[in-house]
Amino acid sequence: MTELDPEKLLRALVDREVDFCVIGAVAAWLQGNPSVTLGLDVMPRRELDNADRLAAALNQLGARRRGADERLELEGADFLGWETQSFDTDAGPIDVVPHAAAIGAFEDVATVELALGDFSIRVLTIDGVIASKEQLGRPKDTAALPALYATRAALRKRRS
Amino acid sequence: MLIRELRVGAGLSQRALAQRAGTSQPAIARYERGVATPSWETLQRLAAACGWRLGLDPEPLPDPGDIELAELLLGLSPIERLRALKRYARLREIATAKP
Repeated sequence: MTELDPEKLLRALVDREVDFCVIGAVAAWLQGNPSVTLGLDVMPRRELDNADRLAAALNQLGARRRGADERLELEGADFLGWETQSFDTDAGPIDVVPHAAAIGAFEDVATVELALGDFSIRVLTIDGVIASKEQLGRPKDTAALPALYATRAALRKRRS
Repeated sequence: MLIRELRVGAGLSQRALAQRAGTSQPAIARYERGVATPSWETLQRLAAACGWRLGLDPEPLPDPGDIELAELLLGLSPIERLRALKRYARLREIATAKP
């Protein structure tokens, strides 16, 4: 598995003008959550033109199915379903998540915009990350909650 | 604050809420000004009169150490946080790699 290079992954998506938001642990990290992750989760807008751009970005990143060596030639139609798809790329692992527990799909989620140097992205709010983890309720999600509550407290303190 | 928000959201005057909840308009005014605190039961009754059910949603208190780490991370700009993630992910991978 290639090491995670989140900047390279995100820049590839932004350069291809993919409509997406970052969810999961990277969204939480970018808002101050001190729990390291080894993969990026993105939620794209589920629409054919956008899916075409997403496929092009992943092809450019040399996407393979997680654990496989063969490079894929992805097409937009590959991203019109509702299932999560996991890829390894030249810039590390990425999960494409069209729908997630508690938060729904791209059109439903509350996001904040973050400027990352010369580009910007949208990330799921910390409340959204917490709601998703609470609803999923798997041991790894429950274990992540105390640090997420702490992050929310730190964010509220900064805003007050 | 909460009572006022619920009352205004329900489009009720203080008097109308008092009638619905079986209390007095001056009591509502005191709650809303913060000079009196309703019991939990009274608060639930007032919320119900506005069309809401109040629940308790316990969650663990955040660990002060985690808050401190979050504050450190928030002291970085978003792009610095992103680049720090790459470094920390690499360190973790090295730390967990099988010999």
